[in-house]
Amino acid sequence: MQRTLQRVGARKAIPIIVRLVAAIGGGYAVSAGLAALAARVLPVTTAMPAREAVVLVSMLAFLVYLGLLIWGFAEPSLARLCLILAAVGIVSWGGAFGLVRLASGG
Amino acid sequence: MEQGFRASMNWLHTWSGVVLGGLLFAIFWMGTLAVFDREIDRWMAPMIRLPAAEKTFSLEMLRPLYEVAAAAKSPTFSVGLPTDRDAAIRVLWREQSGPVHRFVDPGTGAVLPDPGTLGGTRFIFPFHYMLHIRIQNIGYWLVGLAGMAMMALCVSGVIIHRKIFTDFFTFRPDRKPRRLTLDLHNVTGVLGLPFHFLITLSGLVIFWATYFPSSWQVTYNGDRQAFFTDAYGNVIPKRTGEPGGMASFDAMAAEARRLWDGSALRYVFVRNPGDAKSVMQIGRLDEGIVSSTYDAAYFDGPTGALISYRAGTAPVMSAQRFLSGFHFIQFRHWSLRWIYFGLGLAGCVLIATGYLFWLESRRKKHAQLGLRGVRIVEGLTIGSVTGMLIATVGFFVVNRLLPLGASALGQDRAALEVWTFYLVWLASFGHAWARPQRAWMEQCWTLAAMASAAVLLNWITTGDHLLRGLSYRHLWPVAGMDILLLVGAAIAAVAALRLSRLSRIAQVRNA
Repeated sequence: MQRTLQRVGARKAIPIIVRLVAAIGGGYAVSAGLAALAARVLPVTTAMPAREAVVLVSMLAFLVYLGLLIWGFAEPSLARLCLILAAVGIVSWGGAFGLVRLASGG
Repeated sequence: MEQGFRASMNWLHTWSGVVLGGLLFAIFWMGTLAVFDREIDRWMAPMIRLPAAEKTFSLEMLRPLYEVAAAAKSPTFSVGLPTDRDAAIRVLWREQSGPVHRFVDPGTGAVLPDPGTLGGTRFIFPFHYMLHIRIQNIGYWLVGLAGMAMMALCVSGVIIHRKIFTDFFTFRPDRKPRRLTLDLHNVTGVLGLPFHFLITLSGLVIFWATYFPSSWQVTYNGDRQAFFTDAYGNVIPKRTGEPGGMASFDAMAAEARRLWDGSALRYVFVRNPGDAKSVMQIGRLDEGIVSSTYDAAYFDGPTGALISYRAGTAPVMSAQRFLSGFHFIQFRHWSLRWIYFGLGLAGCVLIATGYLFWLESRRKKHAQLGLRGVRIVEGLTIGSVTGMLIATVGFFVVNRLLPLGASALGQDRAALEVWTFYLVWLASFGHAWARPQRAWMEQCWTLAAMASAAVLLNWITTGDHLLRGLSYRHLWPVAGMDILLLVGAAIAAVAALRLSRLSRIAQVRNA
């Protein structure tokens, strides 16, 4: 009985660890990436000065992160969770750094 | 992972609560105390139990201290001016050996003796937001993680709660303990939900630049100072190394007051004291609004000429300042301050009863299966809840026991108080794991005894007993703290009595 419990525990533990890393670490990386991208885009597309855009997106990032946390634990498919987080993470961080390079003329 | 939305939220609620509840309790408890941090200062540092200054005082009385800071080549010289809650002037500068804090009596200009304590503003308040772990900002990040978990707990708690409206009116103290703790968890959770969610969010928003640095890093090329100069209009001069004088403090203060239509002043802050490029920054005090404004006027130190000033803020920054002010409670409103305190305590009850419910619903099953989870979590709960309370009261007791200027093992008085806090806290965990059956009761008795001792020691060492405290306006904070300590002692004693009766009943049954 004890041994079966342990084996079931190990098989259950890996997906849980992956999910924890994806939801907490991945969720943070995605919200920080979206904040970075929005902080670059907003001052260009709207009349908002950069300093205001920075504060606005950083405050909203907490709520985005909260939403990602909830979804990260609610999404039944672990693979879909990881894929979407990775995709949005790459697009947002890539976009933000792309815009930085574009602005510096590189 | 569980199947279904509600089940997965139940899982999230349970496990984030069990893993981070201890940390959350510490943050909530310290934050609740920080509502009265200046009143705690007055209790712990008897030399600042001063009546409010009757007339306006001259800032020039601070010049001797300024000269000391200038001679020590301190990068800054900072002065916190008295408010409704704080009669003494607080002065801070930096010497080779470390920061120097001094209290000054605004009535006489006398520098008060070093209280040898960090008190409420320098121990309890920073513990609340950074746990005194400075390495790599780990303390801030742990608090941030706990904050995000608290918001996730609020959301998942609402989702798993089937009858939120009915339970709003449900409290069944006569039922079984498990039902009772869940009711108490639900009542404090539902009633306090808007407050707990907003106080957590606003606490996180205060440190947005730490938690989401990516936004300013990509817009300001990673230059934090460039961003803050742009966003806050800070004037940060470079030290020249040439000596320079300092114009009249009072003239600059008068000019600053004139700029803000006679508004009171909150602080005076000098960069590069004693340098040819020193800048005097004077901040505005507005106790009449929630928002924590950062209106400041900048003067050139040697000439006293106004460099720039700001009044009012842009829309987004105003929202940020409002949320910060909502959290900092620097406005003048005593009933709201007490409501914050009460809701903070409700948050502590919420976290503690969450743990109790987890324990009570697993106790039998774990005993049958021979699992150790309940025992480990119970020790964690006892140490986090009653242990934290005992450590806090121990901090107050040792503050009244140590003589001024005491030092031991190379630690000064203030450090000894902090060491006492941590050692007592640690001991409470050890005690909880060593004696799981009796730990709750014994720690409740300890708490009751120590809280009463703190009140008694305050009387003996300062002479400010409760009746005296109540009869002078400037001692009300001291009397208030004594009363809360006595109420806390009474609640702890009642809890201990009930627990001992329960354990005697259990003994009779088992016999």
